[in-house]
Amino acid sequence: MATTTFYTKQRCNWIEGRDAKVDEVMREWMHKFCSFQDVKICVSTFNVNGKSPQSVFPTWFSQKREDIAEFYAVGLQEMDLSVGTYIIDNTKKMEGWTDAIHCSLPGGRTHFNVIGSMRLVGIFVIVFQSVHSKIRVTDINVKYVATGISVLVNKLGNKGGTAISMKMNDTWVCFVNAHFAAGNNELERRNQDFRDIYNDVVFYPRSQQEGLRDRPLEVPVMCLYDHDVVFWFGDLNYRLNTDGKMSNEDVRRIASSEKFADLLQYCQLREQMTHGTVFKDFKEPDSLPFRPTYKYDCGTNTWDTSEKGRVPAWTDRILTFTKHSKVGLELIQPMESVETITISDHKPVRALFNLKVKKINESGANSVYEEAIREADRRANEELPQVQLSLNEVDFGIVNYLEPKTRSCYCAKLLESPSANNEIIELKREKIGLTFLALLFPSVRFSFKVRPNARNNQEICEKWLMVTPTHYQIPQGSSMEISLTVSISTDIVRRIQDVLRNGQLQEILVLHLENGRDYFIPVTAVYNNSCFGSTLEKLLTARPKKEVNLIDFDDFSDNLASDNCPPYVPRVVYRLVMALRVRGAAQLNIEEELDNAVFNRIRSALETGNPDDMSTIASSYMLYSALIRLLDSLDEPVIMEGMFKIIHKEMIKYRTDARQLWTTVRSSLPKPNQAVLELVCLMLREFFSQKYELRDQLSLWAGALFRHDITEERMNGMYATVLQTMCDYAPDVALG
Amino acid sequence: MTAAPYNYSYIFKYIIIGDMGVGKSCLLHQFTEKKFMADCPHTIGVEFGTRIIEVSGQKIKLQIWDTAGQERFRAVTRSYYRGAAGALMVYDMTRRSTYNHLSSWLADAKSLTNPNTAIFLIGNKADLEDQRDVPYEEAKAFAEENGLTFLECSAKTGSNVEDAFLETAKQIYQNIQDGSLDLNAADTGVQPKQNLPRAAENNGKKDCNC
Repeated sequence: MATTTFYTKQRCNWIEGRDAKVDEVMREWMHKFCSFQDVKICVSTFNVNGKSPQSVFPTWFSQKREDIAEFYAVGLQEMDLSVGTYIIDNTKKMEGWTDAIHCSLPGGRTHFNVIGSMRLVGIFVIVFQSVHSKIRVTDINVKYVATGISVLVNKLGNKGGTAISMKMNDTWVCFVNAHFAAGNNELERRNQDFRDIYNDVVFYPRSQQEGLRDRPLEVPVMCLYDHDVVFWFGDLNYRLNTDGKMSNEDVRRIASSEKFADLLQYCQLREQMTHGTVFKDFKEPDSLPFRPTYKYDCGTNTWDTSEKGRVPAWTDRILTFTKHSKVGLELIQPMESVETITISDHKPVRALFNLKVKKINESGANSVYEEAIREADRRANEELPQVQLSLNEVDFGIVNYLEPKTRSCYCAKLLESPSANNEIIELKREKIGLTFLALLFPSVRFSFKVRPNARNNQEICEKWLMVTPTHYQIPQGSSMEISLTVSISTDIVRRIQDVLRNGQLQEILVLHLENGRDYFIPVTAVYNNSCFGSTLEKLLTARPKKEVNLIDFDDFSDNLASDNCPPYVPRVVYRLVMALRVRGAAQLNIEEELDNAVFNRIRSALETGNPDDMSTIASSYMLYSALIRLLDSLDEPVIMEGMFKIIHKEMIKYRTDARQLWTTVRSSLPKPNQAVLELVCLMLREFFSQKYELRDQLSLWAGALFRHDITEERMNGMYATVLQTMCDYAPDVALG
Repeated sequence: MTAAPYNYSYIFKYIIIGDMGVGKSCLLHQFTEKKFMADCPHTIGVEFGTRIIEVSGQKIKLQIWDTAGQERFRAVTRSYYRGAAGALMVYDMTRRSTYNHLSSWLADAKSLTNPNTAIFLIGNKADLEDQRDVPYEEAKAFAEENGLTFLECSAKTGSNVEDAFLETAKQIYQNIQDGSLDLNAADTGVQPKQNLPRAAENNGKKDCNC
């Protein structure tokens, strides 16, 4: 098969950082292709207050054999305070300090090589490696970020950071030395300094660029958090915030006593880290077992006696970040300050770490890489959210006009064990219903999708169906019920006339899980075609439906035809009008409340023809309302708009001339419309004569018969006048 | 997290279409999990799976959409064709009716996807040779007539499943290489991975310190 060519000999090798899922798998499998080596790294930070160094500081680094590290990283601040340094690059101070540090390392300068350094004015970082070290250091990159006072566009390097990035065997390590804004009240500036440096320390590793020769467009960038380990140290300038609870003297007294550790709770940096404002994911030992490192009189261990009388603070800090929990970084000696060094107003701080430096066995890694991709794929597929719907399909059965039906649907998140699934399904079955149970994931978010190409654009379903909620985020472990309601109102029944085929209403809901699959939920209902929402023509030809479960009388409708229903008047209209006339206007209480159950009884009686005589099954008002509703729900109003307003115009023109009105009606309306209109007018004339105040109902009737835009008050009044004229002078009078 | 090299250079969207019960979901499952799913329930909706593959040394992520085959969902599933770079049109070689419906599936695939969408014809259930209802030659002729690539495979044994998906990817990749698939055109179903520096992409992460 030609497919053998797919897998070329030159395979893609694993490079960390391409795909989070694959990396996760590779990290778990690290033991398969990595070897680890313990490496001691000593980190120290010192604000030197612009002083020139002594030739050597014998106490700066522990000279004890077991404390000797393979790498030393030192950060200095205020190495050079002279004004000229900002303008002219003066390396004299730097050379002096480099020498002094180098000589102070255990065993002296011959035991260590400088492997990298970076300076921004007085912010200087330097890394040494022992000459005996077997670690292969590659990809050394440096970077500085200035955050100090802005001069035009550029910032002066009086504050900021310098950084060195490198690969120790196959572990990426970055050393960041920073000097943040000083001053008690500059907390925000210090936080901003952190953010600026954090965001701007970006490297362009060379080895990865080489690996991408053939894809030059893809410039790799390495940010701080791309490193396995970051050591961040320097004069961060965070002060003690005692909220005025303690005087400077109190602080100094405690700082000098054995109880100095009590002050750490007031440290601004600790507070900011607790709030997650800065140094998120960075670590520092819980307690700092040394006195505040600032501010002393130079040459002494006495707290600042100058005019400003600074409050002591732990300004000089060492923090660490590891990319993931599997990076083995450990502080192996308590962090300490070196109080014997007194040349500055700060004390140096030092820490000794052990880092498990990894070495990737290239061929080993690449041999598991393909497998890791598979594993990552498998996990990705497995983690796609899945849910169990309690109903795959929702069938509402027969639905009636103005009789809403609701179904609840429950949906459960699939569990890992099949038996647990059964339990949930059993539980939900009782409730008939869509609930989500989110167990594997923190949450499942679902939404009903608007189908492209659907006739009902922008809607998730046809108007006859209502879905709540349409989207929801289900919290872990909880469940969700979705309710579906079919409701056929007058508005909808007119709209669905063309959709209805044998009364079948069909819809397919698309339930979409975020980052997951879509479920289709077919929804069906059979609309019990009603006399409501029909047309006069259909009503005229309709025969009463036989009631469900009713004994089959032969030709049921034949028994009914022997009354005086005028030709062209649908029987349903006639029956309602007759029932109302039998009961008379006196019984009509228009203050009565509408009762939906009674309405459904009337509807059912109208449709089944049983009982044929409507006068006893409901109150006058309910019958009256049903008649208005019946006329109002007609697909087209009795006084049709079909002839495009001509009738309407004519009628308004002759609104007080009954003769002209009836002439217009007879010449322009179809027979059934005429007949219904005449019947209604006769009834109303009768009612008005029995109860004068019923005339107030004229505009309501005008609305149902003309169905004009009711919001147009003016038109409404005119149509009411038209109707009044027609009622007062029915055709027999008007037309002689 | 370095910016550049993603281990896939492109994302290809596939759709699997065909009559109900021809084994679309099983093919997807076999391809992504290398397992046969017995008693697979009917798909009522659209599922998807992903797999990273390699074509000519390039890592490609396949995003495969498995659609419901039931006729009544046809109107809905049509909306998922958009943007597919590859379409796997499946019939069941033991049921002639599923083969007879291919022209209607093909009409959908041609009208709803990009002209350069690679359409692949798959006769599934090749393990049931004794129940064969559609001769190989006949399907082969149909495929040639309509410019489709054709394979018989078995989601049960896994035979040829891998090839079907990979061969489609190869075709799409070829179309990109020779320029007949314009990556800039909308709806090609191929997304080249952007070469954004990771720093920009990870704004969220950086901001968390602000």
